[in-house]
Amino acid sequence: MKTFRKELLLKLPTRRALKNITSDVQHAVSESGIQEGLVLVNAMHITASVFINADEVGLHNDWEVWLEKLAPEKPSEQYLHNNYDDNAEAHLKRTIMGREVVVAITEGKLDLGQWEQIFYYEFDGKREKRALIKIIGI
Amino acid sequence: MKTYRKELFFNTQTRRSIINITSQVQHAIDESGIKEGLVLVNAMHITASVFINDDERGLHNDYEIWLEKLAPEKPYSQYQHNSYEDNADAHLKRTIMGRESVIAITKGKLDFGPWEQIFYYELDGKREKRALIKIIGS
Repeated sequence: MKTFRKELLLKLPTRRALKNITSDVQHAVSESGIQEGLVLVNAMHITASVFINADEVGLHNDWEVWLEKLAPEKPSEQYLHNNYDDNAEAHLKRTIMGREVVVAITEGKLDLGQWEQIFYYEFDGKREKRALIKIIGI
Repeated sequence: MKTYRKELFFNTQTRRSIINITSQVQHAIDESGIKEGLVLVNAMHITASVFINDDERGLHNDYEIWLEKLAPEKPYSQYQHNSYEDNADAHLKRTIMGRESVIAITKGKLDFGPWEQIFYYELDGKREKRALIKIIGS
């Protein structure tokens, strides 16, 4: 069995942003040389998500509106956590969108359905953050 | 280390439907011959979920009502994604319920707590869709 580890560095210019990282993950799978196995991709920060869905700009806007309804950014003082910080809603939004995905690797490729794309969702950006790729297999 | 791959096919009669797939996943483990490892089960579509919870009809109905409150299907015009399609709510509902489950395999069996069951949750059905089972272990 082999393992492979890689970090993706992400520094997004806005508080919230979606970035398609599918090709970065496939690149790591190719670098690893692993043909059959599993890849875990997770945000290393607790105010960001890694998730799988469609690369469609209307849907991405729908997420923004929907998440803001479920966990509004303002007023900031509605959250106790904001006594220390201003990002309580980012923790909540990330909880809805999830921390990680696990994707099968088959014949050296990400074994994804037709429309599945992997995204990093930043909820508290404008600073350097990381996502972890860990691959195990043969 | 060994790996094993299998797809499950679904074509539900209704837009939304919950299907218990626990025995099909165990059957795939039996076919694989893997005794110790991990099994990944994921929807291959972005408007469906694989999740673990209780096989209790009342609770399944509660999910329906709760998801409809958090991400209503109608009016369709509330979502930008619905310029192309009518299933934006299915993308959001799937986000809440999750894409995949990863389960331990011990002594050739799903290593579950007392009430854990695996479900495929169709959120935009009436067409052929798939879930992926990928097993790694020894």
